[in-house]
Amino acid sequence: MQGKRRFERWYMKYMVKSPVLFCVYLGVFFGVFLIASSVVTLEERQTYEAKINGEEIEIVCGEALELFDNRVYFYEDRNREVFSFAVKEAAYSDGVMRILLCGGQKEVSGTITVEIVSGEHTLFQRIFGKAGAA
Amino acid sequence: MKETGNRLNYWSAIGFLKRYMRGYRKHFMMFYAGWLADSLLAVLLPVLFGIMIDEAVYYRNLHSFGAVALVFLLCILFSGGLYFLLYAQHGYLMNMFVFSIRRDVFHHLQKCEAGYMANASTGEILVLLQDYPVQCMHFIVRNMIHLYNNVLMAILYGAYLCAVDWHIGLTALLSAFFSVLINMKCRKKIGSLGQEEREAYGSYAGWMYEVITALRDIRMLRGEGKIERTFEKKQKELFRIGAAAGISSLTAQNMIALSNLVIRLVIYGLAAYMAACGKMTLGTLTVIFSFYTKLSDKIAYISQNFLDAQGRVSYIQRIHDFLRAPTEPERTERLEIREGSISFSGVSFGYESGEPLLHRITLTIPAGKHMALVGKSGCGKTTLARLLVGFYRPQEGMIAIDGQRLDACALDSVREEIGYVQQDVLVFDGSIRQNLLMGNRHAAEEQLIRAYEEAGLAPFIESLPEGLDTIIGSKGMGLSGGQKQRLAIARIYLKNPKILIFDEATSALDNETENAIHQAWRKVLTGKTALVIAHRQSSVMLCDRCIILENGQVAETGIPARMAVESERFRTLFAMK
Repeated sequence: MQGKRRFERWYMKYMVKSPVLFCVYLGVFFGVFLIASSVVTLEERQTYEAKINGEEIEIVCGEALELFDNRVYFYEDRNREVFSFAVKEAAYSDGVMRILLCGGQKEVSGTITVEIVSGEHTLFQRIFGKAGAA
Repeated sequence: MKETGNRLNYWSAIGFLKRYMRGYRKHFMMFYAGWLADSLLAVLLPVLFGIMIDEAVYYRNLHSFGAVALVFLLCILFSGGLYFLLYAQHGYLMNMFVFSIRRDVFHHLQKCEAGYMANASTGEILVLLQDYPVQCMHFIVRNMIHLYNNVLMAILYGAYLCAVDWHIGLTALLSAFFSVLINMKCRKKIGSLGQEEREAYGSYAGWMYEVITALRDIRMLRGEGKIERTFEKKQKELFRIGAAAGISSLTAQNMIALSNLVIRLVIYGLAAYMAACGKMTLGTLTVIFSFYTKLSDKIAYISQNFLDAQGRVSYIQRIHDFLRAPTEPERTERLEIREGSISFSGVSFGYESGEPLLHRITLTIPAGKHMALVGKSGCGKTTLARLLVGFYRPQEGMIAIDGQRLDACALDSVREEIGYVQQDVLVFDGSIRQNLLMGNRHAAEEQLIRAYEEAGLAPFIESLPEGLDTIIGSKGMGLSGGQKQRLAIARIYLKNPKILIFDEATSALDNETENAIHQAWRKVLTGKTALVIAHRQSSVMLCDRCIILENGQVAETGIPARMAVESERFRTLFAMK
């Protein structure tokens, strides 16, 4: 009984009456969330319309595109399949960016949508800067 | 219960409750901060989930999926812990905040004017004391904190939907528009039906309380059938009003739900089309579905909240009105009795305005004399006694004790100097000792013993195994009518006032018990001024003089023994042949 009363007094003092534990809890969570969302990084992708012919992708663009990660994603219909390939070579000339893919690619040809990994951003930036969009 | 002209609205209700919130500011702030954090999490979680879906489904990026999933899990775990802390605060506030309102109401109840309380229903006061303060807490939690959070979240959801696609955002905002429109159309009717429901319930609670306290009388009068029929009638009335209020409220809610459903179909269709065209990812689609569902829930909640708030404001209104009910006047002058002479000079009083019960009563009770006050039932004997202790104020004339005007004296000092013994003696749930100490909280043990000996309670108390510590009242031993009267006399001994009033104290006792009580009276009346209201000749014969009240006036006065022989009125009153 004594032990129960002691626990009740402790509970009232620290969990209810004092704001310290509450504020510490909120503070720790926000701190951990800020750190976690700043540490977790996600790919930042830029989307372009392109043409694919075998292993070569041609993107018409005003300037050379920087490939942050030697990898591109492309698809005809995103909801069907998104293909991911490593980049063997990339060159820009006459307003066209040519990207050569590693490995054989025969499934897609013609007009596609390409997503190039242009950088990284933190989860925090993705949530609060881009409302969750890539 | 009377209402003041000061009608509360949502904002003035908050203003009224602010004084009670001030004492728990810290706790309310923690409570609000916790719910705000929870609300923000509710917005954040679907966005995290959407990112997880996109990374896993489209890009098969399991590393990113896992990292975001960990953050998601962290938020869920935090939310669980947060609820624990929030409900600890809620429990504390529910007890303490509600208690502070109840304490105020109870304190005011103690000080309310007797005239006001005489018109108030006991059941309604009980409901006011027990239920309505809880509604105040619900008002703060649901109609303030949750409402503000839900409005904030509705804005955030709406903003996100607009950011994704303005067509979707605009369509979503249409649901808010229709909800507001429907609310405005239905508000008045729902509000007045809700008010009617609360009044009916208050009246029913009052009636139920009176029936429960009078069950024995109902059985003796063979009135069970009539009471049951009245009970059914009241229940049907409550049901009718409740059903009408419920139907109105449900109709409004269903109209809002229907409009939301149509808008939801439009949004889902639009979003699905955009996803199919590749203009939106599955993750974003999930977030839109989730946000719109929550947005429409928030809008429905806000609409319902608005209607609920009106109902709760009426509870707060009742507490507000009660706390403004007239109280007994506070005066600084203390009544100091030297000898104990009482004078009534031209005193008139009536419970209803324009119909005086007592009309220009002028009489004097000299110090140390015992005056019997007799008359037919309802002639104003008890009213005169209540005027003397300050429960009511004469509408005309003056009452003085030793030349000191009663209307200038502090009422607690008046009641300190006057002992009042009624037919129904108040017995608290507690020990005999605690009940005796009601006469004088600071009485020593010897004084207690002398008091109960003088009152004739010694044989009874000394026969009990626990003596003075025996528990009496509803949770302990019951006392007979005679024992209760002796308890009252013992209290008088302990209080030792200069003036005593016996208000039909022995009316319910048999002759033998009454005679025994009269023996105790003789001791306690020595040297005191007394007013004895009685229907029994035996009580009257104890007194020095007798006053007969008739038609609100003093009809006759004289020495009881002489009046018994010479006064026709006296002989008629006591059915003497």
